[in-house]
Amino acid sequence: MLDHVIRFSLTHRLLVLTLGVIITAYGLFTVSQMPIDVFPDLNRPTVNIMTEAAGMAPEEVETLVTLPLETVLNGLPGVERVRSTTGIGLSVIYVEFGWNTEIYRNRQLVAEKLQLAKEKLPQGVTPVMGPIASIMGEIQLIGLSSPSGEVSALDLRTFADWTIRPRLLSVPGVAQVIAIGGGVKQYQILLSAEKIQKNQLPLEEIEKALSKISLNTTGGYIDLDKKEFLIRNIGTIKSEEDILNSVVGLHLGRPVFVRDIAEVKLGPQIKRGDGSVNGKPSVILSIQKQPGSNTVELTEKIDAALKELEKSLPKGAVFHGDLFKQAHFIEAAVDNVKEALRDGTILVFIVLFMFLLNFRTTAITLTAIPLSLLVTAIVFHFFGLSVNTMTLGGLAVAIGELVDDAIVDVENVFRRLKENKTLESPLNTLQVVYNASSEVRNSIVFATIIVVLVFLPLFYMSGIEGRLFIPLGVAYIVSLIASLLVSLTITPVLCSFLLAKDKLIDHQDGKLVKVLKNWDRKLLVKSLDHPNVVFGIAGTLFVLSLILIPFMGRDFLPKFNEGTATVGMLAQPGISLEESNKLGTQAEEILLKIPEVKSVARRTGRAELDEHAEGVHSSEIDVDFKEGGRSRDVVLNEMREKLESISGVFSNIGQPISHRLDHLLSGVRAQIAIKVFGPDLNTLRSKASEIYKALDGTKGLVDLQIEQQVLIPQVKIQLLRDEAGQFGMVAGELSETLEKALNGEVIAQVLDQQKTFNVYMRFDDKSRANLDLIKQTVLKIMPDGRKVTLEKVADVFESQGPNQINRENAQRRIVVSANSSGRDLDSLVSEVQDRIQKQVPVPEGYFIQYGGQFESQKSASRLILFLGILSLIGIFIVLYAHFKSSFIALQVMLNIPMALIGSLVAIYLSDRVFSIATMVAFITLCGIASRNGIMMISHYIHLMKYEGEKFTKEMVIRGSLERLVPVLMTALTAILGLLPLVLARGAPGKEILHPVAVVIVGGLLSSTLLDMFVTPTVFFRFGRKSAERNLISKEIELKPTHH
Amino acid sequence: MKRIILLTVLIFSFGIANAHEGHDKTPGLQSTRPGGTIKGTDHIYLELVSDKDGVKLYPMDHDKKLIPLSDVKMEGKMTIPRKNKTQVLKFTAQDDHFAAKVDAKGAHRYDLEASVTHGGKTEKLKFSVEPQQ
Repeated sequence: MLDHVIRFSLTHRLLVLTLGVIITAYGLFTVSQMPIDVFPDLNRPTVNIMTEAAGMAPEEVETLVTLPLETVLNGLPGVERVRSTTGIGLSVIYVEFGWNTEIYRNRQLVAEKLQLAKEKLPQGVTPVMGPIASIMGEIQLIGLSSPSGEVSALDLRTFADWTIRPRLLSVPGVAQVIAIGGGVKQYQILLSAEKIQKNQLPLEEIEKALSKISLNTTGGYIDLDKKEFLIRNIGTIKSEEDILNSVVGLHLGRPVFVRDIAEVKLGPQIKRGDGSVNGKPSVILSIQKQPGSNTVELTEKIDAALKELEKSLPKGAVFHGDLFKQAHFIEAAVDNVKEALRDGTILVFIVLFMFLLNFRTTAITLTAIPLSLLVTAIVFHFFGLSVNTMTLGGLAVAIGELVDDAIVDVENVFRRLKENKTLESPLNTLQVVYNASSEVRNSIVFATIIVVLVFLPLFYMSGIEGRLFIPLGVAYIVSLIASLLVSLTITPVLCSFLLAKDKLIDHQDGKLVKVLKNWDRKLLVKSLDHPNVVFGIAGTLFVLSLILIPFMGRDFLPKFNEGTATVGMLAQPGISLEESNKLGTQAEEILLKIPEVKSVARRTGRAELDEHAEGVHSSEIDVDFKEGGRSRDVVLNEMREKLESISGVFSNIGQPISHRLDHLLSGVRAQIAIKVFGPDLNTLRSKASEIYKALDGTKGLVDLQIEQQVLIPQVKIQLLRDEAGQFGMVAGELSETLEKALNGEVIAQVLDQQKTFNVYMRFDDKSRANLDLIKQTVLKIMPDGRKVTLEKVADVFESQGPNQINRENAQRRIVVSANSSGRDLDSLVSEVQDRIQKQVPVPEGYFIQYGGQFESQKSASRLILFLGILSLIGIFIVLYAHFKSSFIALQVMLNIPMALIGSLVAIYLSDRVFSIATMVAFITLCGIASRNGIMMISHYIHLMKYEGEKFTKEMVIRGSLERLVPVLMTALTAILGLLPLVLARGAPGKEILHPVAVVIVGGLLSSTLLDMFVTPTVFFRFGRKSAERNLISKEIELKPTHH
Repeated sequence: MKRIILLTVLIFSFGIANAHEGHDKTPGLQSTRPGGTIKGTDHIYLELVSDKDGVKLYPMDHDKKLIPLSDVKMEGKMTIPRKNKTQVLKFTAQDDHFAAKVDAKGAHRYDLEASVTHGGKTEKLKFSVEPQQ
């Protein structure tokens, strides 16, 4: 069939070339239309459900909100795990579906269940699904501040909420805009407990009257003068004045107005978070994109919208549009990878020219690169894949190999044309091109099949690793298959057009090739005479390289260089927002003093609408850097050191995208996670503590820590039923009244043009400033005039409660996590389990589960081992099918350990870290390394089969020398193609690709150098029988015409 | 070939470390190791863990390290608010903590006053204990 393809191409040359031109044009058009992103779609289909229950303690939110919701959500089809975090006044549930489920279907299922669950939730509490935004979806941060103080914090936030946010949400592709800081404007009715007492009004009566303070109703229609009129009853309030003049009850027959018992003012809604830019209070808007939208284009549209909005900013307010832009990283990363592709192509061109010393052969070979890349782009377009660092990386890794098939073909055609010229009756050029292409087509196809085969296990990688590397694999494989097709169609056609001239064919080997062949000849003669020395050298090198393994570190993914930093700052849980703000400002000021820091933007606590259940003790500071200055490592170290000077906080420095990747990895980010499940929080904490003690000091166990579930201060008001009963008070009603008095309640809305602001009532700070005042709150006035104060019916005392409650699969849980260092994980986990079993008794109703990354690593290892074996068997079968000899098949596979030598040494000399990226590179390497062996051994057999050579030392030397140029060229093009990535350690966008390139380049160097003398020696020493058996193989084959 | 397979497995069995530093660390994390309420003076800290039958007190120094019980003397009493009933508690040393049985008589809370003597100094610490929490 392959011969047919070559023959068809050569007999329809114009058609093939026209098709090539059409593919090029369509490919270029497709490339210009493709979405650009930083990473492939990493989103696990997860539905987040946020439920706000203002002011409730975590235990109550858990019982009243989280539990009923979890109960209905567990058991939904496709659900793999339900996790939840319950904090003060907030429940966040993560319903994680299987990777292959569809997000819209999942949301539909969740929505149906939420409808069912709503009846079981407290009044006024509504669960809301988070938008379909990817975790990498936070694409931009914008600040809004008033440096002169001309614009109040409330007005800044109002402008952000009512002008900027709706405008940005209308930009196609924006999923969510979350504002934090300033203050959400509301009309506050601050009741004075003292004045209420004086007017002898019960709280419930005030609340009832205030709840109807602002109402519009309809009066239906009336026909007047043959016209229909709509009747509107307008009772909404429009100003603070209107509120002050509203009646709330009667005292001794006299109306009591709001002004008699309360103060009305404009103030901020209770804050659970705040924002700041460069140490000054500000509003920060975080913009999230919809999955699949083009980040770079979207950022441009957002910037355009902001430019328009800038004109209408309140006087004295300024925008900070550049606090964080993911597009900067994407542009830098994609540009860097494009640069690597460009430089790789130039280097490949130089190598080709150096060896071929001929523009035409070089040009024919090089056409494979753009054509293969454009075909890949078209395939991507049809599969809906985006241009990102990983897909571009796949192309960058393949760049040197894309010309391999073409090199082999062009080199053979060129050589055969030369030979043809020396014949007495030369054949037609087309026939020679066909013969030469047909001669090498098997090696080309089998080599490509093997490369594809070794990549297949990658497609079974699950989780984030799979999501990252599968697009790389797809890009790599598709481009290689495309290059194979090009080498079977366009390359022979171009050869027939461009290499037919006599003058060209007279061309002799260049000086470089002559020198190399001379060296290789000497090397081969010595090697073939001393096979044991050769085997000894190869074996020793392999063993020595294995010895390097224990000296290497390990990491999940290489570190990114995003150009910005994220400082996570955690104060003691229980700290007030005001104090946390002070600490945050202190950190900002420290950071701004570092000369390289351009700007800082801080978000403390949680924004309204935000799905991050962060307490006010937690701050995130996004740091942007100026161009130039000291190296980033030095700056980050200085930041780290200076932040340590702030007492009472723990700071960690990460980067925005890495930080989000981290969240994505799983709920628990340690290698070993010991999860204790059970009903009682105290017992859980206590068991976690016992586990900590049991494990402390275990050899090889590091980073041992208990999950952050700590006690924070609470004021508890324990209602005493007996006492309340004596005053005819029902405990439930009393509790509701207290909620309204102390926590407050939104009772109405004020309309201001298109904007609506809440009217909120609660006790003023004077009435709730301390426990004594709270205790004196009058709850009821008895008919005899006695006042029932809170302390008469309740015990008010200071206590403690949990800051948050974490649950998994409908159970409370606490996690003790740890990592391993310098010890193999299996034995460590066994010891951990043994110690816990012996030293930590588990009470009834409690159980311990072992999880963490070790679990997924274990299953991944098993899967990769299984697939790896299958893949090796596959390679063996393919090689066996080609060579009809198990020995030769194994000998080709010998290139794999030879390649490992170089790659291990290369890792040792560079980062000394094994990561998923190096793993992927090892797999890629197996395929590439096998190619050299196939080319070499196929040629020996070809010489014996078709050119009358016998199995002699001379034949092996001739075959090796004839193959030297293509082998060196393919290896060198692959190596030099990757060189820009090898030299770009830590450059944005190349972080994952750099280790991949290091492994492949190292491996190719060693396998190519060793292949030059180890493969011929092994073949000559052990391959006689197999080669001769191959020659007498009875298989029917259609032979091309030869002399 | 076995070696390659073994090497592949070996590489996979190597751990995957955190991609991001110190994510789970926070102040206050270490101080609640036994899972209770901590109160202290300039001299000593006590961590209280309670259940429905009684209390456990862990004496600790300023680095939150447990102090050997042989160096500490513990006495205490409990009072149920509003009922004004006081009961003297008998603490016994157990492993790394003092334990005492408390009969709260169904009250939602009681005040515990612990009197701790260490290094020749006696200090009093008050806890509000909720046995049915």
